[in-house]
Amino acid sequence: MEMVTKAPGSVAGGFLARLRAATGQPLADAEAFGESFLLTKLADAVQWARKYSFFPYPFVTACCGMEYMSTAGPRFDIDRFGAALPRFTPRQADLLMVVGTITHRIAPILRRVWEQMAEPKWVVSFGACTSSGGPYNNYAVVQGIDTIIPVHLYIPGCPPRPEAVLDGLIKLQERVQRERGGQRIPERHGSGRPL
Amino acid sequence: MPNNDRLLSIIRGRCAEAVIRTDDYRGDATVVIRPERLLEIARVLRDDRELAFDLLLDVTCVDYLGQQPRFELVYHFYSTRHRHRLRLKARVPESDPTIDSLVPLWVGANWLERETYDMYGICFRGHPDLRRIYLYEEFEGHPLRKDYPKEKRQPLIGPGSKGTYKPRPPEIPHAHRVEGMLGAELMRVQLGPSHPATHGTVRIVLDLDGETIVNADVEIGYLHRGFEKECESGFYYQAIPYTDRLNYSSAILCNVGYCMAVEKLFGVEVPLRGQFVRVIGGEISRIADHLLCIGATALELNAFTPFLYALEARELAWDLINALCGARVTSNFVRIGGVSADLPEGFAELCQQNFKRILELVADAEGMLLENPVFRARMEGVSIMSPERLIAYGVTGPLLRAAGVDLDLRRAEPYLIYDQLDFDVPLGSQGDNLDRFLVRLTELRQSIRIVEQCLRLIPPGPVDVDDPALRLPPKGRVFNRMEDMINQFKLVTEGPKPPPGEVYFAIESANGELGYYLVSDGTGKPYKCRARTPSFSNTQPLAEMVRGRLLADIVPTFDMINMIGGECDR
Ligand code: SF4
Repeated sequence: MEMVTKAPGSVAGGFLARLRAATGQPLADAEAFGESFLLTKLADAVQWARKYSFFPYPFVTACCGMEYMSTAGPRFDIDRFGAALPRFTPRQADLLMVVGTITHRIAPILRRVWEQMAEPKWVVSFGACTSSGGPYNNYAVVQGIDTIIPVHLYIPGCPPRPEAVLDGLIKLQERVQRERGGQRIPERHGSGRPL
Repeated sequence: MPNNDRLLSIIRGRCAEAVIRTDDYRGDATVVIRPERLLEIARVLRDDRELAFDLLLDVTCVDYLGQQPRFELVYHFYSTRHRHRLRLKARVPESDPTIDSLVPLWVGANWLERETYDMYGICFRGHPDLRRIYLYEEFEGHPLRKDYPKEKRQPLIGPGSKGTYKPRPPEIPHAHRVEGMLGAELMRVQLGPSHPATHGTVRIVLDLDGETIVNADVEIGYLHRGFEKECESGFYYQAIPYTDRLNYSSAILCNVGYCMAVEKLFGVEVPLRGQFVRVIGGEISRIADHLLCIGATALELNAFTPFLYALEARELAWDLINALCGARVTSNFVRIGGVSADLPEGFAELCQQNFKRILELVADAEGMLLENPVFRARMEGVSIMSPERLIAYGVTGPLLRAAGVDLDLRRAEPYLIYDQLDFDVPLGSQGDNLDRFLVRLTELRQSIRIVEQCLRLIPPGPVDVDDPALRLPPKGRVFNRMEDMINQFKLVTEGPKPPPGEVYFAIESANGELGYYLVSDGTGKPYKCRARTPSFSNTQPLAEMVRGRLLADIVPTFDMINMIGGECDR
């Protein structure tokens, strides 16, 4: 995983030395902090906070929900990764977890939930059904939610094991860390083309 | 064994002119009748003392495209008093696909007929509310008709849609237009379809007077995934993974029911050891299902700790399933003619160890819940329904047993090796939510007892039938013997071919009677593969159970019904 903050000590010390040389000032106040502060870019810090405090909205419809529960449960404990607290109103959530088969009947509701979420927001397609329709290829089932909303991460499996979910979450966190201002991580839409 | 000859002769005697023919195939009694006499015969079936068919299990239809008349309506009945079954069939033509509704006799026919209307376009004369149930009003055509292409989609939004979709305000048909408190208007509220307490996708539309529910309408179908259409398009063995996804919290039970129905069609029975393995797998599934139900109820009544306990206990049950077949949820464990694998080494010890811990966790969770006054207040005396009414709705399983009706198919019609096992069937007395909860809790412990007995009694021997028409030969033989190679090739490419005919077979799943109705036309694919799922019938009385009660009572009632989306919406 990418290091978020620059460790104090040598790096920060070097920085202070250069600062002192450049300004010619004693910088007494800064030195008084010793090793107890961190230097980072503001954008890094914001993304770091975001990636470790996801508020997922679990849009749970079907069998994958069983494994979603396990992931949240005591053994696998998604809380260790800072994504434990589900918000059941889209207005308070920033991570839409689409868990389970999406049928044509429920598709408008999913889209509405997604529209109601505030930016920045991310979408996880949890399981085979949401990624491609999974085992169902018939009149009732949407062949992948990326035909109706953008998706940032696909987790394969029918249903994915909790280990796979956690792995997916970590991958998403890595990508969120790399986001900058207007530059969001690429999302996929429709036939796999980036939007 | 029920005496079908006697049953059929009674029916022929009672309504001679209305009956076209009767038959008895593989132990299923069938009566074919003239469609215009349906209501009259149904009344006799229900009210005659010797027949007493009080439970309408299923209504469905088979589309015989190219035959005249085209549609065959199929009704399945059960008598809780005499414990016998009957299938009633009547044909209606394509030009006028109309038949009388059975709602005046069984309220439970309401949703079943709506489903048949939705899927096949059959009109039911006298039905109070003939709307689509699974699909949406914008959908054109009836997908289970044989001439509806499987992959013809009619999306509401996104690619291929007309782009004209507008959400409609929620309606409640036949809503009471009463005035609320202080003459104010009633408030219309929607619970769902994406609500934390509807842990499936269901929408409950309510009219509230203050906090009291005046009208309620339960809308299901958000998870309709075309189970039947998928099964009909593949070989018999290809349907097994879809059965996993019916009741995904107890997948092995769904597998067992389906495979046994196919075996009934073939007229074969698996060897004794195979039967034991099926019971072991099935009961562990039942344990996991009840644990989920108990845990989710606790969670939704705001008791988070017992939920975590129940979830950990379910993990332990899943560890056993994982050891059996390598999957946790969608196990795909049972095969037509056997099971995918024998018990793994050391399974008995693993069971012993995990059961011990499960019982500890359950005891802890139980203590925390039952001694909690809030939990008790929300469960005790809530949503009582009389046994007669439940039966009229077609309710089975723990929900019915909590009302004191002793109906457990493992006892009533023992299949597999259940008649050799010693277990109790817990019954409730009040029929309130607390009884439903306690029944599940006790059943869970009984299931552990069953598995322990099975592990003690299981005999050595093969788990699969030795029949190349059903079960793949062992790989070693396939590579070395021409004949086995051909058998494998034929089975995989053409599917197992049962003789033409039709059967219904039911097991006691975690939520009640899970039955499969299969029609074979002699090819490797089922002509019709219908699952009679308990959640569907069990969810129907919800609206009536909560009417007149407080809004907050919906949550525990819905939890105790244990609606599983895949099973209810198929
Ligand atoms: S991916 Fe598989 S397990 Fe998940 S919802 Fe779809 S069918 Fe169920």
